[in-house]
Amino acid sequence: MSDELWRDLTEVFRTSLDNEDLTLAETTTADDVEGWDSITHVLIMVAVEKKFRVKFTAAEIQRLENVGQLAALIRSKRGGV
Amino acid sequence: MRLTLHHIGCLVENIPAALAAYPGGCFAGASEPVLVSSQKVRVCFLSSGNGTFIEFVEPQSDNAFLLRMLRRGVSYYHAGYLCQDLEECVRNFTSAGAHELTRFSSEAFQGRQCVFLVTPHQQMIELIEPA
Repeated sequence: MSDELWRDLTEVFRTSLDNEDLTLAETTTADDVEGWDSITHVLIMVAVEKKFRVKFTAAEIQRLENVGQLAALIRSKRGGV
Repeated sequence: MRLTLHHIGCLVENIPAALAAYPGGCFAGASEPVLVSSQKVRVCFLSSGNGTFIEFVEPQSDNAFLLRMLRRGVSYYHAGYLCQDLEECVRNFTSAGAHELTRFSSEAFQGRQCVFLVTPHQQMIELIEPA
């Protein structure tokens, strides 16, 4: 995964969760992060869509299990960039 | 299909304190606060007198999401619309890129279904089932 994608993804999560100290790993899940509830999950995904200019289906959003899967999905939507 | 604007949702720490800042001479009265249990908020509608309202939304102590927004200084944060066909409206919004956030039966609307969506531009919309 590119450093740029990881940096931008971390920025989206930090802004959405109002937590400037948040660090993400590929294995990070909602259970690991305070405030990452079901509503916040969708809001994060919309912020990600806007930031990376991609579009997710509702099913894709619901299937995501960790940050690594989200990053891979973004990369696939952007043609592997 | 047209929607009818019902209210603008406004986050507040305390409903009575918020109401006190809206002069009675300019508005047509306020409803009694109602607890919307599934959403962990108390709400109160301040009438403009022409069928639209300000909905004051007071998050309960266990509503981390809205309390976080309140801490950030967010006040007005959603528009609520009455719609003749709730599911058709939801389909139209999702076709336009919105995502559904939550749906619930609201004590503030006599148990009618409400659906919150977020648009691709991160604006929150509440759709309310007709009476």
